[in-house]
Amino acid sequence: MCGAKNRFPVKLAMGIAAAFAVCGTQPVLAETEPANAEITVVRPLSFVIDDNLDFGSLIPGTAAGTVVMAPTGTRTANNGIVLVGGGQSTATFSGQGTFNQRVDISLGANSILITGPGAPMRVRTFVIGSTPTAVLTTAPLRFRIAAANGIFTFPIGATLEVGANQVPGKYTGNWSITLNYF
Amino acid sequence: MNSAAFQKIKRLSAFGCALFCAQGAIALPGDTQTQIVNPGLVTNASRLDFGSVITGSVQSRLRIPPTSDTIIVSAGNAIPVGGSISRARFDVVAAPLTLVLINLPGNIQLVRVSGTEQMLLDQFQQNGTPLRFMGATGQLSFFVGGRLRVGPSQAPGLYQGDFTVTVNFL
Repeated sequence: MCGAKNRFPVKLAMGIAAAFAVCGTQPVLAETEPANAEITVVRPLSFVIDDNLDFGSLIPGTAAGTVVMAPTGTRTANNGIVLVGGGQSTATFSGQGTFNQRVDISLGANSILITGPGAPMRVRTFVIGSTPTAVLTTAPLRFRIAAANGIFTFPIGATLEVGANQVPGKYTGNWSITLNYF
Repeated sequence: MNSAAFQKIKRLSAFGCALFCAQGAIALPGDTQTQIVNPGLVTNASRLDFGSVITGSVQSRLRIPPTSDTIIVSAGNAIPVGGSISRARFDVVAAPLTLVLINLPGNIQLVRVSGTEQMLLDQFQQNGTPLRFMGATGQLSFFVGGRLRVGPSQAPGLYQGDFTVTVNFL
């Protein structure tokens, strides 16, 4: 349309002139936005993390309380703690063994501390989303791979202890999980 | 014309002039308004996530279409094993019916966390034409998918990479 010749009466000529103007217009504003892409590659007898454990955002109460992230992804709180927004997620792990293979899963510690601007907060009672669910500890817990192709993916939830009037900010920490194939 | 009549005419003329002069300047109140609008705001709402996959015995290609949160093995024999598969979503806010042009990147590399191994992510696609109008509410969401190459000997682990989308407000 930008290269059209002006052979028409006045009214149509004005329309084409407008079209030329649109073709030649520079954008008023250009906004760029970064985004992230990711994938987890699993190899036989490997074990990788797909998602980190994230309790999301919350408003503390005037009394100490807890936030529970169930393996299903459901988040609950007590003692006046207000859960806000989204973004929470269970931890998710993936691996591959063989059908009916025995797998022992254990934690590096039964609880950890996450740190930030205020007092550290404890994360405890890690629960694996197996059938039925089970609490993970430093003592190995035995499972068997149920899928015919040996592939398994399981979520892990936990409980967060929030202090009274916990200082606002981001709190982070690390925890470890060990999986042994037999 | 006698002087009395003349005087009367002069006063009437003066009064008429006064009336005429007053009607020449009338003030009326009016309203005017304008709306200042941020030309545009773009937010990434969700990442492009291929979930978990087991490498195949040959070079494989995995695709997430821009139209659904699904994964397709377009070549090879890698096996998707679940996880949170999703298209990338972008939310745009601007003046209603603004014309926008959405540009996608060519390709990027995903790099293994705590490692150096890479995977090529290319053929970015969006769910619609690059040139489109904002909605009547001044909001627009669009989705982006892509194609990922997974090697047969791809090292296990979490691979991540960043890409940039540009929205031009015309």
